[in-house]
Amino acid sequence: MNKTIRYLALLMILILPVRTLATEDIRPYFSAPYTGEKVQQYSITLPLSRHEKATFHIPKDCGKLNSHLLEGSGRWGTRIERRLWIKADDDCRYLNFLRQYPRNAERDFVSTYDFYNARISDLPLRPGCDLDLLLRNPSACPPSLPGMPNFSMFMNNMPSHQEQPRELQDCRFENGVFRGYIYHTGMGLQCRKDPKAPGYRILSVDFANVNGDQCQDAVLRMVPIGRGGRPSLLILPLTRCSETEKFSLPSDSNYPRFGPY
Amino acid sequence: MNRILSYFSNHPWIGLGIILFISIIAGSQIDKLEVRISADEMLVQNNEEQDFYREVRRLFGDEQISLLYLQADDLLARNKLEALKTAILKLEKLPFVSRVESLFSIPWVKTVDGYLDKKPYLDKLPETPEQAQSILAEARKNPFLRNLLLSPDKDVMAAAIVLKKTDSPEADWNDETITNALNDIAAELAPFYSTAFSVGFPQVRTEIAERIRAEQARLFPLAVAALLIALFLLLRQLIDILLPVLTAGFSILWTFGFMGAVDIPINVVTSIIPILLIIVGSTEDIHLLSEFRHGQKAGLDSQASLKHMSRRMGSIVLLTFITTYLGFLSVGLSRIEVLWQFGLVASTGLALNFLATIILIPSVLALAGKWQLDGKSRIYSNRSRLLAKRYWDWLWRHRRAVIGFFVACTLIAIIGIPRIHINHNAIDSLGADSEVRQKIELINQNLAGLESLSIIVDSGIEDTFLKVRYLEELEAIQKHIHKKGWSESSTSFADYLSLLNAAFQELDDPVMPESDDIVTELMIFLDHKDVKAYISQDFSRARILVRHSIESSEQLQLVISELQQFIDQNLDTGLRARITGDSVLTLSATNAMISGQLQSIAILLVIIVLIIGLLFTELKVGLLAALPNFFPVITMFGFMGYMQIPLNIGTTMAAAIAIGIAVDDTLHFMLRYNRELKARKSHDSAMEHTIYGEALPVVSTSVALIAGFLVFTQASFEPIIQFGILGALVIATALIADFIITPLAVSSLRLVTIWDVLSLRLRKKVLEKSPLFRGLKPWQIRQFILSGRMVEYSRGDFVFRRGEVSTELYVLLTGKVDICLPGQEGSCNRLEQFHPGDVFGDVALFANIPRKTDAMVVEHSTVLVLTREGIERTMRHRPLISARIFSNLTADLSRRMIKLISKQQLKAKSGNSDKGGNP
Repeated sequence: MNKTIRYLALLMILILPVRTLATEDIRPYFSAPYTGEKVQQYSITLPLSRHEKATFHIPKDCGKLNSHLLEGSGRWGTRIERRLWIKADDDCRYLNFLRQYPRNAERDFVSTYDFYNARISDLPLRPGCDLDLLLRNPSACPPSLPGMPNFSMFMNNMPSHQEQPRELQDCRFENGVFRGYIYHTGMGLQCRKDPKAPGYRILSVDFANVNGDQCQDAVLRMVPIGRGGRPSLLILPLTRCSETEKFSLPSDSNYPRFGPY
Repeated sequence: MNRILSYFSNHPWIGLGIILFISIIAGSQIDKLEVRISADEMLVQNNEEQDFYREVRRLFGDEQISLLYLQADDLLARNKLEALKTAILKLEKLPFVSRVESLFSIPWVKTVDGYLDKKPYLDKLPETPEQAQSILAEARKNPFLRNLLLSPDKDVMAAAIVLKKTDSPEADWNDETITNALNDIAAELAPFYSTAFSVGFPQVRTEIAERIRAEQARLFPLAVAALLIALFLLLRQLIDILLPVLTAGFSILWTFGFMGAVDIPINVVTSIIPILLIIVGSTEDIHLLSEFRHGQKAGLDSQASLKHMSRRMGSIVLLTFITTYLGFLSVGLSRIEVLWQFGLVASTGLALNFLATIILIPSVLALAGKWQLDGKSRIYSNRSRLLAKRYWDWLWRHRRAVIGFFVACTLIAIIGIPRIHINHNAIDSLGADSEVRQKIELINQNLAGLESLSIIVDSGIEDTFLKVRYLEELEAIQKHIHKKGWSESSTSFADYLSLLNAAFQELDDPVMPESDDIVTELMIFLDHKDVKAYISQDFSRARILVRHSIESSEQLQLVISELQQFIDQNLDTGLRARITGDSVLTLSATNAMISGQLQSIAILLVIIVLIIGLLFTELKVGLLAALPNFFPVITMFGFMGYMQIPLNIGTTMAAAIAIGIAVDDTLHFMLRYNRELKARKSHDSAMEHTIYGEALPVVSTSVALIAGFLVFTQASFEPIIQFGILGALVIATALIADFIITPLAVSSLRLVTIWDVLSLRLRKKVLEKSPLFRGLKPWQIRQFILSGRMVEYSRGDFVFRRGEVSTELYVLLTGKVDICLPGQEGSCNRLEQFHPGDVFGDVALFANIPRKTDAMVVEHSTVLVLTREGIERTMRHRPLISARIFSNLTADLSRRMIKLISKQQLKAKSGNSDKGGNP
């Protein structure tokens, strides 16, 4: 018995760091303030009051940053400094989102998927609806997925009537980029690649168990590109519990979210 | 002045000792003198515009850069880039280089995998020609490179070398060291590029400094030679030729000492002062020497000739020195540093030259004046006098035609004046053959140019330029500039945001953000130090930096006016915009310089009119005397208009300086005429003698001045060449005017100098006792006297003769005059003797009949001659005085009539008694 307890204790000791490592291993990339460089940590100096400033090393100082925010420090500084408070806070929140469940999921059907070359149809996005179809038969336009906010601004990517494609092409990201048009017509989902058209870029794909269930999740961060796009970020967690399933939004998650970088 | 000249005539060794002493003091300061060309010296000093630009520079940094210009077929070939990289590393190590901007440092703002990447265009050297072409194509889209550091369509690129401020505490460099270091590095690139050079304003200033040094050595002997030749041809006296050169030499030494002591450097403008001193300083010397020789020709010995010179010329040279001094000083009224430095140094130099003249000339003449190269003067011969007479006769006969000719010339000149254009550009002044200028022209052809200006747009409200609406205001101004086509490059904060926006949106070309939110999002990826040159820390003030190649001040003025008009009409009412920058300050300096110099000319002419008016106690005389000096000015401006000579730093000085010099001859002429008029009864005779007497000194000084000014045509700076041409032109036209306009203008005038008036004090008692002036106050007497003229007569002279037409009455001031009837064998039967204070000649005048008697001078007399016209003029202008005068005249006439009747009665009585009749 004692021996069993000793083994159990040893197992616990061994498991604990593994669990810890599981969350600590999640080190997402951020856009560094001021430079926009791809970094895993950055330093930022923010005003705490009219005359006081403090430097935070993100993500190490996320806790400290949060405390200062709760004290109301985020209202100090110029418009840009106030925006930088929000950025640092968002980055910390994202990290927390990834790390909120320390345990890795038992089943992982996401990390093997090549999201950077994902087929559009595999993703639970809501493409825009062809105007003709919308006018003729609005119900033919697919509804938003449950739990999926209306990202029409983000995804309503439609050509004008005259520019409608003559032939269908494979709708997929290529090296994280899709530029073209995705929309529903009476003939179903259609897309057309156009290197000059607006589109989307997948900035990063992080893997984590964001809702503590048994299936590992992937979190995509995407930005719109092309004329009319804005430097906004779509954080889209996706999950599936079998190889054949389409990706869906994980349940019990505060995300997806569309907002500033 | 007479006393000073006399003193040094009597104590020559003291004079020479003083000269030596001052020279030793000046010599001790001369090592402090340096050739220094400053960037700010051509700008208006201490004005609000410059303060504003200083503030702009503090906020946004300097506009000016030096460029490392490179041209080659395959610009981005690996070996070329490696050599360039090495050169840039060397440049960055130079102590005076703040930073070097090039394709190796300018960020290529793009995204890589969605993340911002600001690595420079040449962070990695291109591996293939295609890669190189791709980099070039991308770089050409960047407004911070296109036309600035990279030609959009030619194989030309450049590196911008931003220099540290020369006033930084650790600065131990100057333009010359900068130029040499940059040229050395550019030379290392020559084997790799078809064209490789470095150019910027330090190089321009270095070339100017080098030219000044070279020209000092070249022009100085030329000026001395020109003066010597001119003096030799006209004076032919060894001492007379050497003395002006000697006084000029001492005054130059003293002036250099003064410049060293007060830390005024030799620059483009002050560099001409030594030569000017040689030329201008000689004029007083020539007049003094001429008068000295005049005395010798009249048979006086050296000492007597010196006294004669001191008495005749002392006051005149002082006066002419003052007018020339004012001419030079008027240039210093400018707020432009080089001009006020010039004004101060040149006027001081002239004063020192005058000091050298009044000490050295009498001292040397006292010691060596008797030595003459040849004892006969060809000029002072009877033939010359005859020529003077013939000339004056001809001039008087053809006066209408001559005046008509001058009026026509003046009108033609006036028509040409509006054609004058303005150009005040340091680079232009170097001339077409200048290597630096050719390099700059290459930059102007292939890139946006070296000149710059800034448009500062200010709202006064924080974060204004984080709003698209206000960024679009910047964009609108830039679009307007682009549309007008005078600038190939304008950059602003809006451009940087457009680049950033395009990078995030992965667009091919820069695009302005569409909303304020996007701007805010972009701002978190922007470090203010990257855009410090374009936006203030609080985003309330923005700068649009415009590079251009406009060299013509006139064109720049038009462009700026048009731009300001566009801004005034189109800019959002919440914004204020102001155009500033090096170009704008240079333009303001040009305007200030031109208006200042025109003002100087106007002030100088007014001062001349006032001085001459005061000197001759009548403003009209001043105005008439100014005529020969107005004429050259008008001619000069007309000539500039027709010959396309621009108004610049050299040409604007020419008029003021030349007038200051030219008026001397007018003064000499008028003063001599006044003197001759006193000595002679006839205007014609006085004029003939004046022309005869002034011909040599006036022509000598003018020829010497013209020769001296023409020396400047051998300079390599265009404004200095133009200064020389115009200076010579003004002196030449002033010479002609002095012998044509001046005689005609003053011949009908009655000249009374202030000295004449002041000397009346000596005869105050005489005048107050005179029956003519009884009851009049002293100032009323003086006013009346000014309507007449004073004539001196020697014993035996006749004031008038029997039978002459009566047009004058006389007041005897000194001496004695007998009124007599001609007796047998020319004897005089005295009717009456007049003493100082008495009036005579009035009876025939008022009776309007010919003289019935002779008026003979018994002892040397001074007579105040009052003409009928003068009296009538007084009646019109000063009725109270004339009423009193007529009352006094009536009383005097009555008194004299009673006296005459009594005399006749007495005579009759004595006759009767002689005959034994009743009494």
